[in-house]
Amino acid sequence: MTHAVHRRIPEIESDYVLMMRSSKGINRAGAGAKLLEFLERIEPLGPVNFGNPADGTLLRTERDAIKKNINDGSNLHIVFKDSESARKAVEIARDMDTGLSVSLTGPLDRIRGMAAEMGLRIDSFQIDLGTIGNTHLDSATEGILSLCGHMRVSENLIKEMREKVKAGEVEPETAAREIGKVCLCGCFNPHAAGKLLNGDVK
Amino acid sequence: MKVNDTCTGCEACLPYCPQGAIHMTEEAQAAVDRELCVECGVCIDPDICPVAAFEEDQDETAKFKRSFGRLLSKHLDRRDVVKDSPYDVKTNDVTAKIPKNKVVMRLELNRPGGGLTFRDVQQMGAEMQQQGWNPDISSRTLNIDEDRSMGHLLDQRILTCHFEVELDPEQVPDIVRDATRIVTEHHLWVSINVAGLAETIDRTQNVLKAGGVTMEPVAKVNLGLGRRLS
Repeated sequence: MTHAVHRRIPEIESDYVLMMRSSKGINRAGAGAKLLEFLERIEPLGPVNFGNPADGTLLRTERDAIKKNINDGSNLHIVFKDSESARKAVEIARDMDTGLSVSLTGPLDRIRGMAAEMGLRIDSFQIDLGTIGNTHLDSATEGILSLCGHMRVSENLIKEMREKVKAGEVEPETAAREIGKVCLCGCFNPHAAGKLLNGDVK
Repeated sequence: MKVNDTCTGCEACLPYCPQGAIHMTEEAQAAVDRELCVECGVCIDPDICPVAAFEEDQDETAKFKRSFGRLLSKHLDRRDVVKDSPYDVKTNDVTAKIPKNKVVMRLELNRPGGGLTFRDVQQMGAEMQQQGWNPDISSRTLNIDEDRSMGHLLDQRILTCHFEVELDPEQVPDIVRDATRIVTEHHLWVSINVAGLAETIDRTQNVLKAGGVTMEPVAKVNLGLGRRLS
């Protein structure tokens, strides 16, 4: 499955997913310490979510507990809400020279530009060719569903939260965080989801 | 999934089920509609049910569904898995599995949203094959063709499944055209992506533009920082 490519949100510049990971038998030994150091160095950039299924995510686990859980086999997923933070994070990854694999999901042209500017030689890519057929979903619902690539978010929960936001019972970002609680991998972007929920009250 | 007798009837779980398979009984207990349930496991999350009232069924049907419904390996019994996808852009800089001069197309069925039968998957696979494509039903799926005794599970509802096809970039518009016709005829939907090595980006984009294929602006890019460490 391709969990972070099919993101159907209108403001694509508010959604970058960085992944750093080791591979067994190739670069795994000592990876945990590198992942933790990288995470601590990018934290001041204000990621809106991070984590992984085994160690927890920012929307469901205490920040320090996630860090404590990180080990050589951890897959670190980090979500940024702007290109500048993502660019700085890539720069940090380049300078740390961990030897771990790093991928970034976001606008392709922007990422290619970043890579060229930093002297990085891209290895491979995965382009989204869209969705064909009728999903029977409205664009905001589809957008929020798409932020959980493991398909754990419920359409009914989105509907309930949209109604609560519309009624002024809950702030959009709080509602987004509640929806994103079911995401176990850390790729859900509560900032982008909040904007979609907020579309109802504008 | 099933509900045990610790359920307090608080209804907190109801909106969280991605398939809307949970309902309340006349006795004010949560219950799972097993036909709608795709065994995604969201309801067993301790953050969803405060008393851990949801349990996994251990029968053959539930295990079958779980191999499509649990997209996180953490939540899947690896014995249920026959095949994993060999292609992964995230680590391709160290594994080098994506072939040179080719692209790998993935057709992810009924994504987003989910919910289709394995018969849908088989029909679509067969029709793709009739058109000359040879899709591999891949990633965490049981290979039902190799085990005919599981044919009675064909109409079970599953979360999702995907096809993978290795192609020349120039073939992409044709397969997208065929897939569009097939999913439309069967009232399905499919999210499509195409992966390749960096040197094929421009070639692929040019082919897609020339072929009138929709290309979303977002992509996953392996930045080439990984390497073998001693």
